[in-house]
Amino acid sequence: MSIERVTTTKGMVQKAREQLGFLERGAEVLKMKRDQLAGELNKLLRELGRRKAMEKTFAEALDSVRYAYAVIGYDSFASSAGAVGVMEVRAIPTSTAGVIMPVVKITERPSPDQVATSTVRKATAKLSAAVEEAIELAVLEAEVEQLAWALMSTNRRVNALEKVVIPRYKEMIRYIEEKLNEEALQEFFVTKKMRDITQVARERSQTSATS
Amino acid sequence: MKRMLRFKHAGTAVDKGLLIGIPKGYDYVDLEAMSEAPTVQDAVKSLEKTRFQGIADSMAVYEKYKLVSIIEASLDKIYFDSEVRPALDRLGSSAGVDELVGTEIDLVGIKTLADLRTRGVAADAARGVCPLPFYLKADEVARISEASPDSVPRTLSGTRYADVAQPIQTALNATNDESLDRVVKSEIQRRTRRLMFRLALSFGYVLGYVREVEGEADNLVSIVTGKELGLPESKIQAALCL
Repeated sequence: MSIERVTTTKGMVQKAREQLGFLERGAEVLKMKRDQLAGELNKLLRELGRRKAMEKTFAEALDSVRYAYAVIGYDSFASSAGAVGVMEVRAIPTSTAGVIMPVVKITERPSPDQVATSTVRKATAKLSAAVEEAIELAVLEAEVEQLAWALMSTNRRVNALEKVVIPRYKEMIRYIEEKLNEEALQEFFVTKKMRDITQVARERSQTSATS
Repeated sequence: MKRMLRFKHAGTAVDKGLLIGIPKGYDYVDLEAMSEAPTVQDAVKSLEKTRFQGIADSMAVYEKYKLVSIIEASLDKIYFDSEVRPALDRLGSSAGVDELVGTEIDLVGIKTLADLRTRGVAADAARGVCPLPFYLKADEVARISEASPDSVPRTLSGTRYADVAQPIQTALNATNDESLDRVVKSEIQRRTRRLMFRLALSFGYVLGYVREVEGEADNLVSIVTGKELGLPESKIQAALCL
């Protein structure tokens, strides 16, 4: 809003003050949100280091699977795997400080004990555990990503409010008040001048009446 | 049958591409009907009037533990007790053939017991789905079925299978990739090879030869698969039945 185009009225000042109050309260709320998001993000960042361990677990599980394939061949491996059901998961969106984040629940776990061949069973157990860990980590990384975006966006809004919008409003209020004061002063001087002129005119007419 | 039962147990459709092709006239069971049965129970029911009807006796144990391996072990039991042993009797007494077949029966029995016990099946239930032992005595089988995985060497000592005890114990350990099936198969191959020297010019030699060829085919599959998957040579060697 360009200050020069603002109507300089008392009503305008009142309105601007109300809006400023609202913006300042909004900025406080956004700062609280920012702090909460930062806290949540810090908690999760510490756990991101699990990725290396998860990758190692996955690599070991895949080594076991490859060995099991070599021991009994593709056909028998696929047939052994036929005894095991599939893993079923459900993605549930949740909200943390207004940020939609995914939570993945494993509703059906394959049971490695079902596999008849021992080498495939061992590989299945390792791979199941590795996949579960990978799912947990994927959810964690998605949460971190969502929180980071939300934190960045909130921070931008807070900065915009504190450094641009609120100062502009304050400046606008200051300008209008200054203008109003100027007008009031001008009116005062005009009134005083008029009073003086009226006084002089009255005195003159009184003097001419007596003479 | 085992492959079909696994799919039914998991509640998924049978992948016909994974079934072993059997030419018409060589099958004893209506595999088509079995394949179309909706559940494991229905599939077992379809075997009612066949030579595998004894499998129904294992259903109570299957229902209790929900392990399809129990039904598979029961199928093996029927194969060894109702097919192999009568065939041995018909062949007449031959120490070499008896030893070839008898050691396989015992080793499969040991493997089944050890495998089911590590998965929480009670000793008596596990014994119920094992083939009748050939050389092992009843008390030895009872001892094996009641042993914990880390006491296998002690349990098998004093039996004719003492030298395979340590590899079995290693295979039962969940922290390594060693396969119990491979250990038992390797032991069967090793004993077959040793026996064949004594079985020249007899039916036992033919049996031994067929087993060797089967083992060779399995090893070929392992080598090719291992190479395709980029396994190091040491791992491929470890996967072979030698």
